[in-house]
Amino acid sequence: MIAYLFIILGLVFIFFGTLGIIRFPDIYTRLQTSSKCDAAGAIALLVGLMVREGLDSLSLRILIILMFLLLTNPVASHAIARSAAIRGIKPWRKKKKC
Amino acid sequence: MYKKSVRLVLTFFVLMSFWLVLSQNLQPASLLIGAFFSFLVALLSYDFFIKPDEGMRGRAIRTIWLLLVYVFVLLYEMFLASIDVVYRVITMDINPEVVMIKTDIKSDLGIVLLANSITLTPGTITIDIEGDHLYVHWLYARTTNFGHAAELIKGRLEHWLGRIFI
Repeated sequence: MIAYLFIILGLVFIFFGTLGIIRFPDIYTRLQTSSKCDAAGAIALLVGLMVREGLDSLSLRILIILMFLLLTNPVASHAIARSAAIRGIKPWRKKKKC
Repeated sequence: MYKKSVRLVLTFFVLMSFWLVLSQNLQPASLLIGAFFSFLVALLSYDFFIKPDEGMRGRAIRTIWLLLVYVFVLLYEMFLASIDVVYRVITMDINPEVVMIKTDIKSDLGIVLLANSITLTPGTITIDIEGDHLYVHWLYARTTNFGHAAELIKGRLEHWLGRIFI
């Protein structure tokens, strides 16, 4: 029961993260939703699978995947954001009302 | 200060436990191969894995314990922020800004972990680091004030990391 709750939560996060890629205006804001919401969603999904599996050797391996995701995800999105900044892409700004 | 042999043995045990978890096999041949390669890799890499000037034994246990607590704090923050970003996706109510914040953490590993945590928390990405200044892209900037923005972004994360790395 709790496991399925986690899995559904993960799927909802991934769905809205992907929706954000389509809706947001520029590379930085798209990066925000695509990588981050997906990371949170994937972590919720993996935790759900771990709870479903119980204390097992398989869930130990899932834990290793989870740790790997936590370490590599920010590095990848940071690399994309930094290369965009170095190329001189200006962040999108909301138009101020005069 | 750890002795050379202690560092070697610690690295060997970490590698060997990884082998056991991943191979799921207790046959003598598998164990032998694992032990042989763990020893070989430990011999090559113990100097990078545990630095010679890395604190005392009691402090290492405390650091690992605090890191575990930190992972849970980070996960909690991540989920709160994810819900916030989902709300922003639905309403398209965004106000992106690049702000510069300053951190009080001195050690390199601590700054790297802080930058990664800021990136991992939805709504903020670390774009660049210069010394102890971080350039952060913020999805919904509530303020552009130097000190106030730092307080809102780092908040609890830096408090916990500061206890680990000083």
